[in-house]
Amino acid sequence: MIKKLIKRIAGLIFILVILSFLVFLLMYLAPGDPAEKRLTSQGVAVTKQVLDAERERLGLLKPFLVRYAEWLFGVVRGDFGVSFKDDMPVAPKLLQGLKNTSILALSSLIISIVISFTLGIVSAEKKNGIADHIIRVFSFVSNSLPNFLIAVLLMYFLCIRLSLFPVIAKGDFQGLFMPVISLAIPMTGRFVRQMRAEFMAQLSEDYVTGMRGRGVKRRFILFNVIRNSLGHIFTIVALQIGTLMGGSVVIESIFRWPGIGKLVMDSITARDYPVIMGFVVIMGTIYVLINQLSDVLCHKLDPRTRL
Amino acid sequence: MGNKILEIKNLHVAYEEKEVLTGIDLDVIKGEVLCIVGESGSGKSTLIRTVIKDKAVKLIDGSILYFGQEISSFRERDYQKLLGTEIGFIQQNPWGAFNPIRTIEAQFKETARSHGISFDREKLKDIMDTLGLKDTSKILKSCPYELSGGMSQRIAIAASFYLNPKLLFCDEITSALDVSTAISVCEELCRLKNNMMTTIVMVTHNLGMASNLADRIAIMYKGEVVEEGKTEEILRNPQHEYTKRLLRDVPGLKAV
Repeated sequence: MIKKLIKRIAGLIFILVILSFLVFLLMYLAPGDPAEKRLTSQGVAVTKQVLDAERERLGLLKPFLVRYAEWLFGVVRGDFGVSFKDDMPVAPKLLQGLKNTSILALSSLIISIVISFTLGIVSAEKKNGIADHIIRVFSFVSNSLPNFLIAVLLMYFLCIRLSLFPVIAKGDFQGLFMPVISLAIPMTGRFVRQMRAEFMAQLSEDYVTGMRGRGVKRRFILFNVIRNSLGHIFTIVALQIGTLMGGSVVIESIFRWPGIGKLVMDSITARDYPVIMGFVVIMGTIYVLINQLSDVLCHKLDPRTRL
Repeated sequence: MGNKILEIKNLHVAYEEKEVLTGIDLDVIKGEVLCIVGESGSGKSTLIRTVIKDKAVKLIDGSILYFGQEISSFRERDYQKLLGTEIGFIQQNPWGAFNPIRTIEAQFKETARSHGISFDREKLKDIMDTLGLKDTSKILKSCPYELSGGMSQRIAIAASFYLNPKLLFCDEITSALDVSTAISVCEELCRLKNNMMTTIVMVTHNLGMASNLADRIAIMYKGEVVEEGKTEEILRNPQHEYTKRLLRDVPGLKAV
């Protein structure tokens, strides 16, 4: 067990090193000169001398591998470098953005899980009944709507027509409501479908027939069905967390939520490489860690699955 | 013979949209061992699954009366209460009785609680002993996926015996067992029948086993009961071509 875990962690570190190298390489090959971009944005007259001095200061003239190694050792120590845009350290910027995005992502995830878990069970148990049909239509519609459209519709109805929320929200609880709902609706649609399928697969297992044949009460049967579905559900949710953390850019931009997605979009426009690279490394780490955690959890829940 | 515990009349049943039972008429008499014999796909298991109201099978027409009461008239919750203590069911898949990833003990406790009875470890130990399951405490701590097919099947049988139903359906329960274990299981079934007056309906494709166990035999062929009667009558004077063929194919039965 411990040997397997060490092997897994080693594999994980290897993946992250490869990821960081690829990111660094992509940024290196990407067109555009951050030094020039920075000078232009500051209104400095760009001469070759000034440009070279700026490149030297930003460390852009060193060989590729030296720059990569320096950056990587910095990252390991928690130092993601200094932003090209405003000379501020990157780590606090990313952490603040990450905190805000996590609040948004986790809130919408929890709401989605609670709703889709309940609807999934009802839908699977009452297969082809009225409730199942209604739930499936809801799932289909909400899954088909892109979240930015839901965001715009929510803004129109809740902010303009009903005046329940301000159009430009602050980063508080009230401001959290609409982005969370916009993210949660399509996600719930997807989860309901997946959970319904999993619960239905479990309900048609022989052990359910066996339990029914022994006269085991419905609530115990449901408990067993849910217990056996958890591994699969964790995997679905784990995959979704990665998508959520990186994919809420549009929603963050629409609602002006100061999350990591918005920060990165601004950084891409400004060619602020340290921020972009830091973002990719942090997201990659979160994604890989969550998936590893989900694998371990799956093994704990169903010892038949191999670690 | 005595009163009927189960009456099946003109039963038409579909499984996955295909009609597999086409007009079954069959009575089960209280206290008897009835063996339903037929080849794979003849509808034997579907018949049992219809009686336990498995959701996968769809009743098209006909009726099933348990002690004279139509089973479709029971509320689902009430019928669920009958299963286990009144009508028992052991299925073919040896691992099918229990959730594969929870301990046997937890599942026995759930079963007992569902019927409002306390879990009696000693009683279970005695039942397991008679079925050749020696280390009860180790078994109770195990999950079904850790056990062999034969062991799992015997635990499923123990669960049924524990609840002591009036009518017990056994669907090919010896298929995962070796010959000697199968014989001891059959002996236990006979003992259950004699001591507890349990009525047993046993589905098998093994006419040899049926001839040793059954008071009556019903022969199923392509979704119908083509012949039924007392065991010795069926063996001595088979009427249907399929029954004759079955008898010819069983070594040592031709002389009966």
